Amino acid sequence: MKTKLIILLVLVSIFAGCEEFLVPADENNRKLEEIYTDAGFAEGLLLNGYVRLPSGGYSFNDVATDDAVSNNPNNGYLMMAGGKWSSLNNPTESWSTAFAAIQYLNIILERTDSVEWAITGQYVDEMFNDRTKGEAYGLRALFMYYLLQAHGGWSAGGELLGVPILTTPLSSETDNNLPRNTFEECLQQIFTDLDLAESYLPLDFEDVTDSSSFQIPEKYVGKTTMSDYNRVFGAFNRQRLTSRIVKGIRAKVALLAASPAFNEGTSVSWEEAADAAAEVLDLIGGVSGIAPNGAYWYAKKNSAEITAIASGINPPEILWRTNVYDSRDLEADNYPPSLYGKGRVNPTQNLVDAFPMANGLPISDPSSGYDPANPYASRDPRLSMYIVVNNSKVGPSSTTIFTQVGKTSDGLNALSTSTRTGYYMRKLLREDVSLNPTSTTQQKHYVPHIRYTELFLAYAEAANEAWGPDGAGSHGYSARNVIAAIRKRAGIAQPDNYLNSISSKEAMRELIRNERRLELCFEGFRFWDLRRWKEDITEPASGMKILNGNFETTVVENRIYQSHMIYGPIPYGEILKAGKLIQNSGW
Amino acid sequence: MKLIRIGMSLFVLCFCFSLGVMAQIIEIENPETKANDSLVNVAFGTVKINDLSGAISVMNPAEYLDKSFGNYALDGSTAYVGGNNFWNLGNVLVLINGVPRSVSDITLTEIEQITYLKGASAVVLYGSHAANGVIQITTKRGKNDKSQINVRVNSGINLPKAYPKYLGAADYMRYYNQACANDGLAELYDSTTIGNYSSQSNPYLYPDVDYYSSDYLRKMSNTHMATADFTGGNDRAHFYASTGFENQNSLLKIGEGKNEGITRMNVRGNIDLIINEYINTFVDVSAVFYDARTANGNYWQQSGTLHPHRYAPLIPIDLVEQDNDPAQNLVDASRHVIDGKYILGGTQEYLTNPIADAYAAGYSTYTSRQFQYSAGLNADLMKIMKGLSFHTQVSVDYSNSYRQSINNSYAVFVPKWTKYAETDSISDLTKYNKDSNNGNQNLSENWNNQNIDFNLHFDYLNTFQGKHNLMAKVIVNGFRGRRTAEYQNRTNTNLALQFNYNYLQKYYVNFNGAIVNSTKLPVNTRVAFSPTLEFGWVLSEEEFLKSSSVVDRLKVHASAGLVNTDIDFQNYYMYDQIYASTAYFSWKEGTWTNRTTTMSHERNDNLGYVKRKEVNVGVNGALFNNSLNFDINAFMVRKDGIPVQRYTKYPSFFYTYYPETSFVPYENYNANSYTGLDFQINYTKKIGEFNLELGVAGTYVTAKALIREELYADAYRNRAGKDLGAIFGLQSEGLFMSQDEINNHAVQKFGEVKPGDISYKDQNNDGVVDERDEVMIGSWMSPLTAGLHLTANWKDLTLFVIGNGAFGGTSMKGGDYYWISGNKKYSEVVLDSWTEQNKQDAKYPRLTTLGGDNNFRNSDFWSYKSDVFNLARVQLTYSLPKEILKQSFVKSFDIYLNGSNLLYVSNNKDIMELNVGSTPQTRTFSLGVKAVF
Repeated sequence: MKTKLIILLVLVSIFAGCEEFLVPADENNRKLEEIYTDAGFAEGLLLNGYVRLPSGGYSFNDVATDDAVSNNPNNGYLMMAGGKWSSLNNPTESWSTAFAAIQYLNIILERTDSVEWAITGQYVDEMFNDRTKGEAYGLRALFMYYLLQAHGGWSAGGELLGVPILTTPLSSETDNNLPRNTFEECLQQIFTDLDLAESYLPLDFEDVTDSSSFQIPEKYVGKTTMSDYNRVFGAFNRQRLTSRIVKGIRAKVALLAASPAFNEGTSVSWEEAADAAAEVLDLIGGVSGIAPNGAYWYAKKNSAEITAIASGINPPEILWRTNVYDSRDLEADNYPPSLYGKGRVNPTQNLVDAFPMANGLPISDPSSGYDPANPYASRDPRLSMYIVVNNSKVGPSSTTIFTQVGKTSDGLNALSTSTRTGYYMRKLLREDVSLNPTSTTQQKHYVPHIRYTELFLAYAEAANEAWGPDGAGSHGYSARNVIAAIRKRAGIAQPDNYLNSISSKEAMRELIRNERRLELCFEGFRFWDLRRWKEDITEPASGMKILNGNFETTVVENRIYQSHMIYGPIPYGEILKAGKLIQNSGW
Repeated sequence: MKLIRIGMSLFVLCFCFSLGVMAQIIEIENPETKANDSLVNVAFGTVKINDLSGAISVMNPAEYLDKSFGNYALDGSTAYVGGNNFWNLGNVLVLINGVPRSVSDITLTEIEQITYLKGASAVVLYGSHAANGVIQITTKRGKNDKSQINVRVNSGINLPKAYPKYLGAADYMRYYNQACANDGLAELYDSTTIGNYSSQSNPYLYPDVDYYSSDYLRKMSNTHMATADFTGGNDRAHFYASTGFENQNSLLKIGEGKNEGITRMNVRGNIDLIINEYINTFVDVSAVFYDARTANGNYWQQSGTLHPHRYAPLIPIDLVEQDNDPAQNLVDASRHVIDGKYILGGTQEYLTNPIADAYAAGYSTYTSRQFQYSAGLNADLMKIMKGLSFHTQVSVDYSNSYRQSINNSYAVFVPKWTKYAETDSISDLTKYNKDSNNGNQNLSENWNNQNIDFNLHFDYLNTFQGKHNLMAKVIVNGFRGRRTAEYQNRTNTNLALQFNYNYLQKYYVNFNGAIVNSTKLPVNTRVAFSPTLEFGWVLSEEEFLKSSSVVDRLKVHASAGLVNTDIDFQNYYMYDQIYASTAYFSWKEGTWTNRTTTMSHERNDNLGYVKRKEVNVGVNGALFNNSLNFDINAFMVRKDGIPVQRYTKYPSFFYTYYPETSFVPYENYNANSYTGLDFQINYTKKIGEFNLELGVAGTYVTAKALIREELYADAYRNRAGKDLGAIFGLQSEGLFMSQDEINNHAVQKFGEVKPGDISYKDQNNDGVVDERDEVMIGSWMSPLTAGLHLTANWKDLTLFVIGNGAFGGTSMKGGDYYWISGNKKYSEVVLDSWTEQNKQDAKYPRLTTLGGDNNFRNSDFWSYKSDVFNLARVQLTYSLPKEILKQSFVKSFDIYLNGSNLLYVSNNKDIMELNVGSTPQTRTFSLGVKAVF
């Protein structure tokens, strides 16, 4: 009997505990349908647009241009510039990230009308719905811009193509073999989205303080209250997409479309590009609104302003930016080795040579006063602000950095973390960061998505092309006015005789492009600007070898690009999968 | 927790029961504890070796342990059964006494028998997780016999086979200058500098550090082992107890390196209690204590990256000028004065190095504890029905491991040298970083695992009319594993049915099947049925062979089966479409935060089991008076429906890395095939006083990918149809000799190409060489794994030899030792590098200060045949003659010399014997004694 008892006991107890053996534990997994009742979950779809923004950090694709090289031999951009760029290997690809963002934006756009965005307040549900649409349309346009920039190009058949326009979500059930739309069709889609975004979004997210009706858009007057309006469109939403930012995006798109590489296939004129930029600039009073610290917005000497940034309020230089965060990563990557950094981005001699003298004259000008035996003296102050040269004082203790050969570990090629060009990058770094392991510190940083200097330079470039150096269109300021303000801000001696001496559109174009190169260096512009302008992309990257007091310019890296590489490729894998996709010519 | 309680109560119950019945004296013979030389442990039971079905191999450690000592449980498996990788199907399941456990939980001394269950019919009863095969380890148990004590002591030395060979300081500089010149750059090191490093006039000012020198490393490490086991029993109870101890130190002899070591201790006790004539119970307990202590700083990895000339790791204090107070003060303040003579060196860029780490960075200890516990009961139910019995076993295993570390930081000093007539002295010291012992003890790698396994089965065993032998079983089998940080239980649950029939042990029909349940699959495919069927025919029992003088026994068998398995499913809910909150986004300076809502994968309600489909045939037998035994199995296995996400079907943005999201469903798609045979042949011969035994065993497998989720424009890039271990790479055409050659060659898209770079074949003739020109250049899988063992016995002397080999595979030279570019440490391979002067003989591409991306990628330039024969074991044993021991309490006494991993025979032995970035491979020589009391 005892036997049977034991058997019975074992059997009963084992089968009682069986459930854990037979079914998976409930993981509380969520379904898409939950967005209809959980507004936060629904907003999460929209946020896919924000987290995928490529401008949230620095790509330093400048090391694939004539502006810089990397001392990391495995840097993807370095290898790309060395001849590895192909449709199989494309570090500048936007395709997957941008389309994934668009996919999620399309999912929320398709469903936002059914989402219960709010259960209290007057008209709050509808207003949240509007705001979501505005952000989604604006972000979708921005991602289309990145796609056009990286993948737009001429087909072998001579057609300027963009990318497939997606306005509804794709799935494993849909037909995903989609052809590319023309570049122009993509532009029109972008402009439509931007217009829609503007129609839904306020100029800025700020609290309405006066309930008098004209602070609240007309469409909401009488339907909502001031506090309910602020709940949706108020200050709490700062740093998200506003109508002002949408205008900035439009300026970027129009400049791209009007540029030499694309303007034969688009209907966007230089005048429209200038107007688009001016539309944002006019809001800050044109040239008079230029931020005096716009050339060193990131720096230690601007630390008071950076420290004071709070609650999403932008400094005058910034149109749109990330949150402020404490960090020392940029410095750890780019400080010279003797400051415990990895010295990653090494500016080239080409870029150094692009800085004029402090008197404003290019160094190639015979009367500039440039001394090849003392090349860093009396230069545009931006040179020493952006680039560490031999004998520069850098870092929290103003350590002297010797890039000359053989003196210290900061010298040319001394270590794997030393410079390869004789220069280190200084711009974007907070020099009050200490990396000394005995006293490591971090400092506040932020990354601009769009800053006004970019828009001023966009306006100058477009206005010069549209109306000449001194034409102002309907805006009251010309290309020359803008460049004068930027050069004055930079510290070029006044009067700026060199600028004043320029009379032709061509000479002005050259100067504007050079100013753009200097002002926006290391921020990921040069790579696309060279292509947009159809300029020489094969200029070898040079460095400066200083040995025993002699200065010798040497080629550090060749830029192995072919002429078709003005335009980026469509990813090879996508061409294989989708037969309707046409590759850009030459890839 | 419920099951733990059940286990515990069962244990208590059994224990009380046994106490209760201990008083009674019951004469019963327990079939389980009989000397079972002819019994083989298979799934849920034992069978007589003559009834054994196909595709099962057996090792009996007790038979060879005394002539071939090893601690590793699967020691010698290649030579005896053709390897433990089975048919290359994937990770096999290891069972110790029927419970999923790890090979490292047990040592060879404790093992009675290891059964290699390979065929589908052999594994199917264990359910889904056994589908790749099972290594079933059965421990020793007590016998109804006199008590016996076995003691063994073994002491060995481990000699490193090879160390990486890096260039010294001066040579490095010369070759780096060559790399600079190749890149069109100025030389970095001038001849004076190189001269200084070369002359070594002051090794602290011009250091040339060799991390493999005897300054830092011992010539050998030591291993000591001792084991003791006790067996005994009477009519009421049998016991087996075993304990073992193993200790090993490391090669590093500086600082904390001296304290490095591994200690392992284990205790096992197996107790059988015979309660009455119908019931017996057993309790098995095992505990393993493992501790390892390691110096901080990864010495072996870092020694492969740090250049010899950057700094002197140790700076002699006596060279610091006596009257230099600031420098002397720094020395006095240093916490790390080594041997009273040195302070730690470095530079500002190299604040740490492995030598200083060993002295000053602290250490970590790793602790692992295993407790394994099983209890069970066997009941003869003959009163209910003749031949019916009931068996059950419940096991609870706990393991716990963690690492405690003391992490200190330290200051390094950079000396400034002043030259005097006779000697240099240090006139100044610069200190970088600081000495800091923060006093924290850090706890990491904390894992707590708990496994519960149970099974119960009703067996029916009967013979009808003296001819029809029938065995049937109904089995319930369950496993549940819990791991730290895993939400889901790991489960394996199945109901199994066995129906074996033979007629006069001549004709066999076996049906084995399982109904499996997987917690990883959707409801409508969660339960599946895995049937197998087998036929056997003992030809030697037939009239036409019965009288043969050659054939003693000959059996052929054939089997077919389908095993459903979920072992290829890495996660749970892979069939479901899940939206989740993932990446964070915050705005208004972080005041507000929300997370992205993203999708994990698309839904697929039809996602089902992977199916192992198999046919195997075999023959085994004995010839020439049983002097030649053989067992040969041929098999064809196909694995269908391996789950993948078919990314090549959908746009690339259906997957993104951050935030990780995918719109692609898992589908049962990929398929593999495995075809081949395994064999074991054993020959014994007695010539006079010589006893010889020679065995060979091996497995030959062609493993192919049949269906692959892939999309290539050129068929030669398809993985489908090619070897499962296929290595793809470019086909090299040697090194470019001139710029002209490059200009006339297809464009190579891996960076700037110069003379001295590898030239590759343009397979698709599109004028460009890139990933699209990669072809299969070999397979890392060796199709043939084979070994042999030889025993020569003369009187009291026994010589034993094991050789193992793997043939037909390809390996790739790679890593920083062979692929030298940029600022990597230069190994001796650069001596052959291409220059304009030696371009006819160069065997290595030109050196470069850049990435060398054109050269350092998979290509047949770097591949080599990994064929190898390893003389894995030679042991000479002397047993004291029995006559001498006759009067003694010692029953036997052996003394032996043992050598392991003695010799590689291979064209590429130098590559294969070299470990880069990790502790070196070693040859082991040991001396041991074994005594039985």
